[in-house]
Amino acid sequence: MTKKIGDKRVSTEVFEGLKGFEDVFEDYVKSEEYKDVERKERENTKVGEQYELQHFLEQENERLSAIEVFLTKKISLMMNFSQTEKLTLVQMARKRVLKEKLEPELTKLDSHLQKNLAQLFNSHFA
Amino acid sequence: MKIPIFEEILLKGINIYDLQAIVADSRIGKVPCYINLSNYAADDLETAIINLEQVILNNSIHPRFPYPLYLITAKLVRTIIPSVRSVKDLPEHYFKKVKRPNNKELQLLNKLSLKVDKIKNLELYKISQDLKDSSDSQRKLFLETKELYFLETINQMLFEKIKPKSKER
Repeated sequence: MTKKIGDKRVSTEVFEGLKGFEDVFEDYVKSEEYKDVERKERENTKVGEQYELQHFLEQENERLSAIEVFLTKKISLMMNFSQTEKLTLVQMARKRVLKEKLEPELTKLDSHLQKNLAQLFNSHFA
Repeated sequence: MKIPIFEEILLKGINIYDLQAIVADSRIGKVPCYINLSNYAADDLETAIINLEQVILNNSIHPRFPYPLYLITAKLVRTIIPSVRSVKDLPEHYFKKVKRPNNKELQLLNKLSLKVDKIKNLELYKISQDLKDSSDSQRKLFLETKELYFLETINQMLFEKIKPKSKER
């Protein structure tokens, strides 16, 4: 037969021999376990710190590469082969066509827009 | 090369000669730096910023690339140099513990040094001005597209009415 003190299993004979000292023994076992946990945590932090600088430098390397590509390739490509002006002209043409189509519909006396405007004005200035 | 973490630049004076000497001796651009101007009065602050802009322009240092230079001032200032209200507001990314680098980290630092030099050799002011110029046309395109989307929505509502769903019994 075994009995458990803290996280440890001890035989019944040993447990009988410890009678009266259970609390002291339990505290001791717990303090040892706590020290173990602390030691492991400390080691983990140490390992983490070891790679922290390397990770930071790798990140910086990637960041600077991205900045370099952005400044040397992407901006010059955009300046030399910009499509913005052409796209703006296309959008303006499409907008003009749509406006011409929508204008007669919206300026009708019984259109939703006119009705809503009339309702708005009537409710405020009546 | 030094590990790129924040370095404070201490000013001895705000006239152009003092600033020239400080900037020439400092590692501005090679590592992230900051200058604390929170103790200066409004007039001195303005003079310091104008002189500093002049000095970094003369030394062909860009305040953002490859590594930024920050000004710390609680007052609102108009400058090309990025500014923050306090040291706490600086990006945490560049606050790291100083540590002796091992071989692998030294190799990475050498790589970084090459890239920093490469970026510093670019015409950074010209490139950033080009980028700024192109932003106007981009903004115009954005506004045109936004308006077009609005008109298309109205068009869809007026002419392409979606049939209402029949109620399920």
